[in-house]
Amino acid sequence: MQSNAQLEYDYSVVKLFTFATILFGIIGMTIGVIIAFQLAFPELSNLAGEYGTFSRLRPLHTNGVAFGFTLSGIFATWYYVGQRTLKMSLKESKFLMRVAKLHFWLYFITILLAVVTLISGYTTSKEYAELEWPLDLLVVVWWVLWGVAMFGMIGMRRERAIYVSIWYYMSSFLAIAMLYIFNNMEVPTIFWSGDAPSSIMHSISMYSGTNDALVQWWYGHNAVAFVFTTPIIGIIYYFLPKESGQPVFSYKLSVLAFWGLMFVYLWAGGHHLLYSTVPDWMQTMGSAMSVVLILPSWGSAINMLLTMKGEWQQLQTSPLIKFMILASTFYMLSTIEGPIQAIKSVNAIAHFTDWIPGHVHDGTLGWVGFMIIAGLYHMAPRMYKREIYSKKLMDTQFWLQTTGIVLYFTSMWIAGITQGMMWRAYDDYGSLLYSFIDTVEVLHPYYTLRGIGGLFYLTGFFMFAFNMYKTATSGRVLDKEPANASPMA
Amino acid sequence: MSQETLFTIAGYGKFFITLFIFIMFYGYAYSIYKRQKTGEKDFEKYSNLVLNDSLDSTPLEPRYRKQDKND
Repeated sequence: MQSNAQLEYDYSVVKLFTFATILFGIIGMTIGVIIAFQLAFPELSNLAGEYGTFSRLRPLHTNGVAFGFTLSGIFATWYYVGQRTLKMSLKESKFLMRVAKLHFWLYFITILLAVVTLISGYTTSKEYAELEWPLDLLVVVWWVLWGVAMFGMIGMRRERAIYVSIWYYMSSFLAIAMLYIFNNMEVPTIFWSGDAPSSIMHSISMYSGTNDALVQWWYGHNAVAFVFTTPIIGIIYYFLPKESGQPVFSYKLSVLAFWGLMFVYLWAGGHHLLYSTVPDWMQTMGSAMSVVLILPSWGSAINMLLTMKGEWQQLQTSPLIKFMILASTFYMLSTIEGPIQAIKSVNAIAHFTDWIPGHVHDGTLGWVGFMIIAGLYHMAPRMYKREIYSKKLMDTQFWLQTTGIVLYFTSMWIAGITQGMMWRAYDDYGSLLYSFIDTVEVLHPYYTLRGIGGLFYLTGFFMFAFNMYKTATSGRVLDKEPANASPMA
Repeated sequence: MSQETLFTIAGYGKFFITLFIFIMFYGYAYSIYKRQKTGEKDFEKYSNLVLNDSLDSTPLEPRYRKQDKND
């Protein structure tokens, strides 16, 4: 084997994506807090004309945090974990380095364009697939570039065995490629509109009615699966063992959970369409598969918790371990909550209520957000060769954000169930007891609490951004790379 | 073919496909646990891919690379 003493891992692309993660996190989460307060105080919708309305800002929030913050975090950790577990450096291939950089810049431009077009009102109106067709084409280009970089790096590896984290990243790449193309099959109207008024920024879906809804939620739920779940599992399977210095509790379980998740997840999307016009057997299958999903999800989550066996004292000493253990716990919470909501009788109350965003946010804030934050914190001393600037600030951030998440999901649980019960309440004559506005009045305090919870989380995110900036610029310089626990002042 | 017959076929189809996947998955689970127990293959060693991930550490299962041959 070649001596690699002179060769180092290259973190230039990791740094670029780290910057994007923080930038898009700030944008996406700030907008999230604004729209949360708009729901509590509707007069806030009128501050910036059409550009400040809930309908313009909501897709900006979801796209910003899912495809801005989360994807950047996934790409940043991929270029880090990929190089390290495959034992190859991007420095070894000029081609792959160029591809990786082009991947970043095209991605970055696309997300900036997404911000501009969404706030200008250009949207396909399909949830989580709002971007119009020219942007969709751009997405395909950098997604393929990511694939070229990924499989190029795998092809150049020195390590024959491919670590389970890489499997999860690969699954994300392959599944999203398939889902994205099929759900974004659209007809740009400008080419076929004749003399009718049209725009280059307008398209209609190739599917219609129920078929459109089916494809949309096959995609929509698997955006949750392959953006918010599998790559994040890949992240925890690398960063928790590495930071704690503990081998994975059971590698066999990690492999089994992987295949279980791969098979089951793709069938669960039907639960978004319960009590709708899709065939009944699809609804039942969506429900059943959602319940089965508990097994592979908890398989990974329990595997992570057991990895800490005998080492729980690290939870007291390291805020970074706290982030990851709580992330794993939130993953367990949201993967038991989701299946419960997918049971038809529960869904009859939960559907269209605030319990749904409550569920989404204990997953995204607690699981996705915490794992990406932890991953970036872990990489910082290795990328910048400096100690993490402040342990105290990290600890404060952890508690502030945890409080924020708890405020968020508890208020939405109460609001959602209250809402669901009030919508269904009727008197002895079969007349509804409440009008819609009655529910809005009752929910006001919970909406305010949700906004405050979001504000806590956002404040914590600013602390994270500050801590990362200070680490990169003025942390104590390290003379050698830390093996496990990240050094922090 | 009547709608009822179609539903019956679909029902049996679903049952047997699920049974097939069930057998495949648990068969795989049994096989990896058995291979670990008999010592045929050690799956747990792959945890070290994370713990020993510096570029100059020896790979767990080295892979031949064209580039390395030229060095």
